[in-house]
Amino acid sequence: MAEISLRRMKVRQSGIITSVKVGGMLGQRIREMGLVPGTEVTVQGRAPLYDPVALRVMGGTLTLRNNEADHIMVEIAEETDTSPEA
Amino acid sequence: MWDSLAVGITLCVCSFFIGRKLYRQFKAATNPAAGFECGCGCSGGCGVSVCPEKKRVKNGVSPR
Amino acid sequence: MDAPKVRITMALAGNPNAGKTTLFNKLTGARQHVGNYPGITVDYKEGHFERGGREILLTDLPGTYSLTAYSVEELVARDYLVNEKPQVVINIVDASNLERNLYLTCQFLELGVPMIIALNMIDVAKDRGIEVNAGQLEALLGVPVVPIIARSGFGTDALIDRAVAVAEDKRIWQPLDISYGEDLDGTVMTLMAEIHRQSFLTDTYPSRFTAIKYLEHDDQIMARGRVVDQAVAARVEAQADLVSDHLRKTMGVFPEAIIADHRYGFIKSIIRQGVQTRTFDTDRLYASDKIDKVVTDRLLGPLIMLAVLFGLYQFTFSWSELPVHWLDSLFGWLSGLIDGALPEGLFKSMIISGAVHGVGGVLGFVPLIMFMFFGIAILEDSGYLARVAFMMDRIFRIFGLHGSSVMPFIISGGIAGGCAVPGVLATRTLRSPKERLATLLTVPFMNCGAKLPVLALLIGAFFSEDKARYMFLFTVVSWLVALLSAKLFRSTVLKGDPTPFVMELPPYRLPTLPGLLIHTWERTWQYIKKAGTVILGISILLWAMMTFPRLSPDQVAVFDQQRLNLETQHHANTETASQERKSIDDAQAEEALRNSMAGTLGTAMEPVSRYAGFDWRTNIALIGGFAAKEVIVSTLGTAYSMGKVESRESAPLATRLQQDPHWNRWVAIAALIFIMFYSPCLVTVICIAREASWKWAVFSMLYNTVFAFILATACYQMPRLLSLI
Repeated sequence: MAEISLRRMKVRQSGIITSVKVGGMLGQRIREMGLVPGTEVTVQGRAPLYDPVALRVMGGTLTLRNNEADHIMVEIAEETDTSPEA
Repeated sequence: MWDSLAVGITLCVCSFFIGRKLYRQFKAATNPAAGFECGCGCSGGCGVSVCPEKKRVKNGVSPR
Repeated sequence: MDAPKVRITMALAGNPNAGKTTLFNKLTGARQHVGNYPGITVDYKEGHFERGGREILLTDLPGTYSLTAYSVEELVARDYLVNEKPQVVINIVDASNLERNLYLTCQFLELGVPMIIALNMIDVAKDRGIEVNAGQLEALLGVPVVPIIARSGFGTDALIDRAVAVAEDKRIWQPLDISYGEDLDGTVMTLMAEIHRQSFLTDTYPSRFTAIKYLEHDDQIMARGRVVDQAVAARVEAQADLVSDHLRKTMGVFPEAIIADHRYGFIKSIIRQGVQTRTFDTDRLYASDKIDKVVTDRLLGPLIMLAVLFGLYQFTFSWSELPVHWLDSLFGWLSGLIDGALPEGLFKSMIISGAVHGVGGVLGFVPLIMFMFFGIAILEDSGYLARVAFMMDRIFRIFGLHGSSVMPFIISGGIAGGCAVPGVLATRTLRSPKERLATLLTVPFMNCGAKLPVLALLIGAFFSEDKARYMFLFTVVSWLVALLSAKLFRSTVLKGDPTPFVMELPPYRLPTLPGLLIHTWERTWQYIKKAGTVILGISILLWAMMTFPRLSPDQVAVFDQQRLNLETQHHANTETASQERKSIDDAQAEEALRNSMAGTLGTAMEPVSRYAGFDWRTNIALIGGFAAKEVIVSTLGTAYSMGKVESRESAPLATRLQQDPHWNRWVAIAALIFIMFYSPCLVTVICIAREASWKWAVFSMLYNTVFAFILATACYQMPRLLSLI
């Protein structure tokens, strides 16, 4: 198991959120959409310009910008290739 | 003579009608509680088809 | 007569896109527009219906994910619940996304409002392999739960019956207590004791709710607290801050994070107790995801988006060509009929030039508008527009806007055929005041439904070889101008940081044909109704401005003298004589129009407007267009029918413009550019004043007009300088 930032997750990769380290409005927006520790997320796709990212969370699909995804840490199953995408 | 009279009356009716419309829009603008959607008269673009208040007056019947 | 009816007040609340408006329409029989993207309802709407001798007043609240003070919708919903105190809150919950939806439910329970849960979209959930045990959920939450399908109306009768029962039940609703863990529970108890002792805000909120909101650092409630009792507020704030600091230092977390985590913990514990069962693997791709894989693909996505847009124009213009032509002929025939039936005089001129040619010009485009609305209804109802926002966010951010600005832009006519008024209202979903202002000031640049007939008229008259391509081109230009203006605002008067883009992508839904037809027809009908009422009135008033004051007897005498000369010169009644007689008539008609109030005004502006290639007739139309943009077409129709003496068959306005020596392609482009970007119409200006301030409303009128004029002048002068003409 390894902990990485949500930004570095690849398309179709799944993981469990371990922490959301942001307060204020952004924190509230992230949490009310169900992005809380213990929730499973799957990266569904990315917009044509690589940002924002589409996530499957609980029963729905959410969009999030990369710089917002930075605040979210995710635990993923260890893979042979964990090099970050360009 | 009836020609000028007819034109005069029509112009009065139009002025009244447009004046009233303007007055209502200004009233809506100064009253933030009222929704704008029904008064906007925006050629259908706004997507609000039936004003609920108007509906209320017209039919109070159960949908069934 | 009936005995006085019992009135029951109910409120519909729930997450965006959970089906509130659909249920509202089903229950009240109203036909509110339902879009397949989050945040369509910003204000609350009311409707009413009868049930078993009771009159039920139903309020549709804006969709929210929680009850914080971070957005206008949440404040509207929250204030309604605590101030209006509806007898029952119908909390509509999307069964296919139960966990996330229950987060709001949880907060309603903490607020202690009388509630019933409408478990919506159980059919969608079933398709995804999710079964929800309504009875179990009811038992665990202690509130009635009724499974429904709002789209088909399944279960809505049972829902209302049980809601009525809740309203008439005299049960006292106790706020739900959720444990927030040992770190917070103690503080919550202390705060509650203080709040309770001082009766601090207790007439509006339960004491526990107030305590939690102070821990969440809720600006609205804190401000309200300070107004009610300065001293208590300061004490409560100090205590909340103390805990907040402590938590941040020792654990690196915010109190609101702990609160949210425990709420979800509570929800998860409920769901695990047999509320939700999955019949097949959750990892399976839903149909929606499969579509998204293609539609938001890196390469295909943008291409599909452009193709959809272009296809929409192609479809609109090619399919509407024939019916538009029929309507033109119909109005030509009608004015011919009136011409024969009425005696010569002012009244006849008013009816033909003012009413028929004015309104006819606007009504002539009904088929085109109808096809455009139909296409847009498909895009909206299917959920494709939300994907457009998703794909465009990165680009919008470059211009200092937000992905959520895409919606106001599209609502205002980003695809053509919207309206800036709801577009301005839709900016309420933007949370940063600066991004909101930048959006609000640039949405009027989009091609709204009222500008469509103007575009269609000029494109049809001067670029008839490829209408769809030019329509597409002008749409792209409107976007470019809007985005660049936004960038200008954001880097000068409206500097500031971007705000979060956390948005829900709704699943694709297949639009139903009756739904599409209803939307299309309602919108088209509104267009027709406006042409027949407001536009008719304005066009008659403008006719009067274009008629009075009339030529003085001296001026008329000059023309009479010319005619007399003609008679004496040519005794033989030749072809040339009749032609010359007609040109004298034309000159008189033109002189009369130029002499009128509107003509004087238009002529006075000509020294400036001629730089952009506008003659005084166009000026009249442009001034009229401030009242409503459709008036431009109707005024041109009136002006060009008054300036000429009618020949036997009356040509449509497009043909007249083509034949007018003053008009050519470059004039048309300059005029289109000016019309697209000059001052927003009166109603939009009022709306901007209401949403921002009068200062910004005046700014938008002046800035847009000056800006549009510079652009139009450039368009008109450029080919001259490059000696293309």
